[in-house]
Amino acid sequence: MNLSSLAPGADAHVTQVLLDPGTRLRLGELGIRAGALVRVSQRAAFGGRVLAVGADRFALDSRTCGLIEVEPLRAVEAPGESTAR
Amino acid sequence: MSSCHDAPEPTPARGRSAAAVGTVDQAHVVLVGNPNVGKSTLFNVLTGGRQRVVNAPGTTVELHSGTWRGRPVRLTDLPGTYSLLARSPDEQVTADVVAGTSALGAPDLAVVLVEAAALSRSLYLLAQVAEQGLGVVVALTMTDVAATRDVYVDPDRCAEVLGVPVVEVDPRTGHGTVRLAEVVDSALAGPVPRLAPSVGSLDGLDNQAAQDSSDGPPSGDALVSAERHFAWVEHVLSALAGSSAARSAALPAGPGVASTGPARSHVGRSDRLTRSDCVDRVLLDPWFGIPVFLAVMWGLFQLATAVAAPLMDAVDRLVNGALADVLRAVVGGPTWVEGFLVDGLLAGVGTVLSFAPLMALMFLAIAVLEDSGYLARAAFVADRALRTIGLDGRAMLPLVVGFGCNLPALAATRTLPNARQRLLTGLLVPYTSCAARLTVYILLASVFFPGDAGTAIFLMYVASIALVVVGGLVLRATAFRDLRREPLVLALPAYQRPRLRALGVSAWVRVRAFLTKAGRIIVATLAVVWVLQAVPVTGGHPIGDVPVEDSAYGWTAEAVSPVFVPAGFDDWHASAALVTGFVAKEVVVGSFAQSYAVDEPDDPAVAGDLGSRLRATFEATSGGHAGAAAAAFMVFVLAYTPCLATVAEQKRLFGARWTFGAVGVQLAVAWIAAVLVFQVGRLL
Repeated sequence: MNLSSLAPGADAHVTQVLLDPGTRLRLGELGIRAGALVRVSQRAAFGGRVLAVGADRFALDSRTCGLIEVEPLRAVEAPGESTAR
Repeated sequence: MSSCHDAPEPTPARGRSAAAVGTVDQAHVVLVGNPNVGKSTLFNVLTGGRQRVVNAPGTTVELHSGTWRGRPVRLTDLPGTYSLLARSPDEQVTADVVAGTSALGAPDLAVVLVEAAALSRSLYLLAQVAEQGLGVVVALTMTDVAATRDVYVDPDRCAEVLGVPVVEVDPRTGHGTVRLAEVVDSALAGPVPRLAPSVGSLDGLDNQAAQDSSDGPPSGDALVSAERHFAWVEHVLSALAGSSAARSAALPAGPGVASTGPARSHVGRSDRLTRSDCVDRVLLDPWFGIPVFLAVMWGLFQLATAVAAPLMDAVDRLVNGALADVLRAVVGGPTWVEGFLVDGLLAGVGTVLSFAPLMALMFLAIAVLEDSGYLARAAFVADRALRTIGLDGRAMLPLVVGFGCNLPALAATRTLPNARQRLLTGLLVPYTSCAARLTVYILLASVFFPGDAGTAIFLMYVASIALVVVGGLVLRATAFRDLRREPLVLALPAYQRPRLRALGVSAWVRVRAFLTKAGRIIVATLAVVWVLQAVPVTGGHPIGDVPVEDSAYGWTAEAVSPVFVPAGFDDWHASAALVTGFVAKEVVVGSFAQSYAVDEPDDPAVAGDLGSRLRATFEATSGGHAGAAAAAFMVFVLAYTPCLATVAEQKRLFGARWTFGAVGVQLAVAWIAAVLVFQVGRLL
């Protein structure tokens, strides 16, 4: 799954960054690299996301979010969904 | 490898000898740090007003250079960067200066700003700087912001782990700057402060990696270098987390927070809702964020027009009224001397000074947006719309301001972090139809399209947006092919209350740069225009008292007018108005009135005699298609060169080659568009 599919409030580990090597390096320099723990803290217009990486906050556009593969650490119910199991 | 707890003895210099640090008398210190870390604010506090804005050698990247208050130290504020593996011209300047390969020469010491709330990425840059063989002193900033995120960093413990001096500073209040100055003095006079042996994992890295070109993918060296730096950062953070220095609830924390691996590199917890997160819930909301953004842009537009106008008028009245009267009373000699001094030079100075309030307001407003943290959010909100034409989201601000006035719009391009993006946006700004052009549209639309004046004016704004979009696409496909379509990854700084005093210093320095550099060009050009208007080309007129049509200015306008035959307005009145419009679009209507020797209408929508004269002229030059010719003239006014002040500022920011090249292209585009409008219009 990728960041675009991750619900706000959900934590995940980054597993893969499928961008060009230069951008991948820059994301890594910012702390967004394989193994990093991230959380989508905000959903923004046009599919953008605000990503929490530790105390840092990054705004990412929807295309970039779609190219960052993550592995959720826990399921977060989508808003409005029943919490019954 | 040594432990990070080893004694922080000064290490031998790498790349430079310890002696190369130089004497205090000749010291050159550079400020290095991530964007939005408070670097420029600290620079302003340390230098006060004793600074100047210069372009980095061979680039259009601005550098602020000044003297450290009370110290014989030259201080340079380098462009903010996350890495010395540069990905933009601005970052390359920083990388080159730190590496000592810039024409500025090798600095003696770097003060690296480390953001307490973003230790991981700050330490990464610190490692890169230290690797270049440069002595470093760490200025620890934003500890207050870090505290709101449950991150506490002890500067003494940091200094112990890193082996270099660490001084906690708050650039916004000036707290810690005295201590920083003492530490820098010691570092310059004594042994070079190097990262402690505990970070010896950096040894053996190829320094070349940090000098990789910003073009193309990173080299293997760069990747290896980055990996080692990541490892070093982990190492340092582990040392800090192992002590009480960095007490982060996230290390380890509850569910969802890893306690090992790369997650530990982030001191702080991603699951803690901060005050900034709460504000972002509103300001970045998919539905509410866009109206807020539009409201902020509307506010800026108002600032550049309604708020600035009375201030500009007041300065103009003072200089061209009271001061001019005094000068006239003092100056003796022939009439033309008085005319040249008062109507040429002083009027030029008045024009420059009248822009000062506008520029100051705009620089302040932009600085407030930047300092508060909202500017990054605005760029995020606008990014999608501008991405379609290859522009950065931050370009929205100058383009919106441009519809008020092109000059402060150029000032707003400084918010773009990439010099090529600034240049691209700066070249598109003149196509935004400023408020001064509106007076021309109103005059001509009310005379030639009285029943549809509103529609005609609206279409001019549509044409303006179309020119920006098409211009952006064409430039991206030609001169700016090198500009990569970067994914948007924008660090969002925490919201903070802007400190007006620090911002005031910054605004003053920028306004002063405009007044002294662009101002010279404006005054010189206006003096030349006065001379052209004062010199008669026919007999019977004294110098300085010549009807327009008998002056060198009128003769020039007459000589130019045949160029506009295909556009339907080949008349010297029209071309004289266009030449005057190059100086300032506000005076096009006045120029028409002057050349027809009629009163300038108070309201351009009620043109009176001027309207009758214009209609007669355009009827004659267009062969009976006055409406088409007037529309062509309006389009030409929209697309041709911006005003003199804007051109002068473009030259200051982007250099003569780009500016004059752009002026040539704009004239060509304007002419082609005007001819098309006339030729199509006459068929309708």
